[in-house]
Amino acid sequence: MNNSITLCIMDPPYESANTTTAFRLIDAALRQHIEVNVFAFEGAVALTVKDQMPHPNPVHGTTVEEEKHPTTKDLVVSLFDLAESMKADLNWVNCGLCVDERGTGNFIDAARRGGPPDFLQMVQSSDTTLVVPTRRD
Amino acid sequence: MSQFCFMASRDPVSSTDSLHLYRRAADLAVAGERVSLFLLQNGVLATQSLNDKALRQAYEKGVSIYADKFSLRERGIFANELDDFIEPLSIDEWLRRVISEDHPKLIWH
Repeated sequence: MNNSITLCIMDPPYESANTTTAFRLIDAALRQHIEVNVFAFEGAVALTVKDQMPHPNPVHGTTVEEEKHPTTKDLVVSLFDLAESMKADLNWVNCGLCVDERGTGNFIDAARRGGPPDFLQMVQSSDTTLVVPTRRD
Repeated sequence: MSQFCFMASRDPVSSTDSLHLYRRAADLAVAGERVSLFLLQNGVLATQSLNDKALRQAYEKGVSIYADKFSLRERGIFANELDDFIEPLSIDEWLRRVISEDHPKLIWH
């Protein structure tokens, strides 16, 4: 039985279906008690920024409460909540250089700062690794 | 014998290199490797286009073809519209059957 998977994700928030797929995969793995390691690289380090704010939709005439706009930060927090309820491990590392470049250091407490050596360690300790690169045509 | 799982996320009409991906999967299968192809996101549109022929060729060479149910549903594609050789799977089922049992090498496209 597989019990650990590592994902390297690179897409910034609100731009790619890859992010949705990554979140779905993490959710499904945790529900199967699979340990999940996430290495957020490049733009993906912005997924966990605390300062993200939901917004109203003036076009639809909806308030913040009515719009219920999901932020990626809240989605990641909910994945950590799920991990706790399932007694499964979720480790989330934001690439430090990518964070500094983008000024995204104010990220959620559950994530931690790291670097490529952490990714190497994750790969070596996992049964399976998936790298989801940004699209470059 | 290794196992490879190619994750095809791109619409093969706009990303014609998808056809090369299907062919590489077929080449590996012919070489004796166990290979599967998981269509997801816009990759499931391959089931609705002329590229369906390329998928069938890969299947006939030994590649297992799966399609993500969520991605199919998002795009209004129903399971009964799929060719018999394409098996719809939820991401949960895919994790259980393909990932947890076989620990394949995952290649995202």
